Amino acid sequence: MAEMQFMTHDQIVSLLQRFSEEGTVYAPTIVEDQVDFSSRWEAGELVQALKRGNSTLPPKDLFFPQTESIFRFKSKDRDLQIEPADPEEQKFLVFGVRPCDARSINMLDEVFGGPDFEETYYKRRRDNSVLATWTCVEPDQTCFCASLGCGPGEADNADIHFTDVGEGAVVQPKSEKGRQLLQDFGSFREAEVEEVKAAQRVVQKAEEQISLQAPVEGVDDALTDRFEDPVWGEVSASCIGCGICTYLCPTCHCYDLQSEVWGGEGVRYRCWDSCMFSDFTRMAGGENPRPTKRERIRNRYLHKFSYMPDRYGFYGCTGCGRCLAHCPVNIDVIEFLSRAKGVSPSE
Amino acid sequence: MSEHLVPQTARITDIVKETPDVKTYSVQFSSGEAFSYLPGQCAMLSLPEVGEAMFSISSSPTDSPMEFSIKEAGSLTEKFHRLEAGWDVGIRGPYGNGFPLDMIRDKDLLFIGGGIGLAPLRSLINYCLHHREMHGDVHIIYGARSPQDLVFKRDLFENWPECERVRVDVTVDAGDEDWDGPVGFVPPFLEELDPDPKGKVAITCGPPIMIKFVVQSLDKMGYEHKDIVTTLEKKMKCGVGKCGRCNLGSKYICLDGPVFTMDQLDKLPEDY
Ligand code: SF4
Ligand code: FES
Repeated sequence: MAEMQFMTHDQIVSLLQRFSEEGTVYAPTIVEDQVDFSSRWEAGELVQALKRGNSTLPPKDLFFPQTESIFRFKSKDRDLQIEPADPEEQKFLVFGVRPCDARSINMLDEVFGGPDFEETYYKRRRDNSVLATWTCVEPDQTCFCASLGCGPGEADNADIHFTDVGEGAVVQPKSEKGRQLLQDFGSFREAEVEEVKAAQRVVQKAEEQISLQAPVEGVDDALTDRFEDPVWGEVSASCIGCGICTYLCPTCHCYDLQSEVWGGEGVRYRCWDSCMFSDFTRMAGGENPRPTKRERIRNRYLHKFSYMPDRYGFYGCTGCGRCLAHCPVNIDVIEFLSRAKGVSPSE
Repeated sequence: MSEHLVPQTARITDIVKETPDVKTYSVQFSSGEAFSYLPGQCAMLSLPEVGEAMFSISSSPTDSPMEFSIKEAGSLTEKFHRLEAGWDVGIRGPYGNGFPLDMIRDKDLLFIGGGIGLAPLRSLINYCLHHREMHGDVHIIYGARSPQDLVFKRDLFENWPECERVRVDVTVDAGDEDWDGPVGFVPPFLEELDPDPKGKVAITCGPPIMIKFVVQSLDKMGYEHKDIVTTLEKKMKCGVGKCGRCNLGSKYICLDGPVFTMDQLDKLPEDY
């Protein structure tokens, strides 16, 4: 099979519909005027939804759900019984993922996998899924992916990538899973040279539209030995600790474990948590190594731009712009990076 | 691959009241097979209706059963303190790196503990006393708030002093009418005893403020930071460097720690 294929929009929809007979398809869906990844996507609205900006929430929760059961327990008098939750074996396809979010999944692969310890919960979902990415034809105002080694048309870790050229999309399978998907469910033909060129123009135009730049280069070094810098007090001054920045972040992976109990039985589940919350590090005795928002924002930024590079070799930021667009008090990661590096922001 | 956040069950076989707020629990795994561990490693203990927390293992891997010493500090430990022998708890682990056994090999060992901080040290002390030929002299310096707050009294006053080339010095912040031993905080007590740094590794654990002053004292006495070992505590959830809770700079205490040399800590931000 030649690498570049062409599919009409109808063929794309029918690929998703055929896959749905065997697994679940999550695709961009307009819900209350906002785009979300949903299994209840509408065939008639798919193209429309793809034309909008990126989803409000990243598709991260399909691999790392907001809550998931870990085990059930029953305690009767002195006896405790523990039974692991049934593993989810459902096959699924995530369609229409933007390159920045695909990149974040690449990062999460390192975080939840990595040399130290591999988490089965995450890995199982990754193994059971196909990642289909979509070129951002119209990047948002807040996108700065290009500064983070990513771009509107680049999705290195995707299984299959689509670039819309009008009546259809140029399709590039990028992994064995992607090739298999096309073979099993797709109807397609080889892309014409003109179509491939059109796709390249779409990507180029999108790249040109991204004007926002984040001065990340060398910021990990610039942040060394800045633990007591006044910058932390300044950038955190207006933070209200709502946690939106972490909730919307495609690379945030902090979680909590909690129990739901009724009578003598219950479920232990894990759920997202946020380092921006005051009880995140508070210990049973009451001591808290990060008692104020200054320490908490410091940890969040250092985690993304100093600790993650140190531990994994990459910045924990994809430039998706969600924290920038949604922080209620306009705390701006680019402004922070500019300050940390002592340059003035490009915009 | 096992589901790592799922605990096994273990039964409490014995409870020893160490102090008014510390009890030591012996546990036996329901499967009959305990996980193996190293001195200084930790485990997550749970009462699932209440929660789960990380505790250092206070027994030596050379002894059985496995033991944990738990100080009453919050809702989970409060519930632990109301349990009796025969109750089940959840347990998963082991977590963390443990003490650097290679580094302390053939060295004289100086243990400096405060309060419940003696728990992880006890695991290593008993391990070293079991492999007696692998280490030099052992000097244990320990302090607590008052005589009744001293943990592991049997070890401190009977078991350890009876061993060969072991010296034990115990102090309390404030004495009572029965106490005829030394009175005073651990750091000045340590300076007074002034153990020679030559050929020695100092291993300290206790409240953060004590560790801070102990390290200052050791500095004065000429110990190098590469020869000072400590073990840290932070709130933990996963135990495997994923939940993001226990980081100290780019290190996770649950995974890369809890044991560090001062040399290593000097390079990390003071986020504890
Ligand atoms: S979104 Fe803004 S206000 Fe809310 S926690 Fe993050 S930085 Fe603070
Ligand atoms: S306890 Fe989860 S990262 Fe350490």
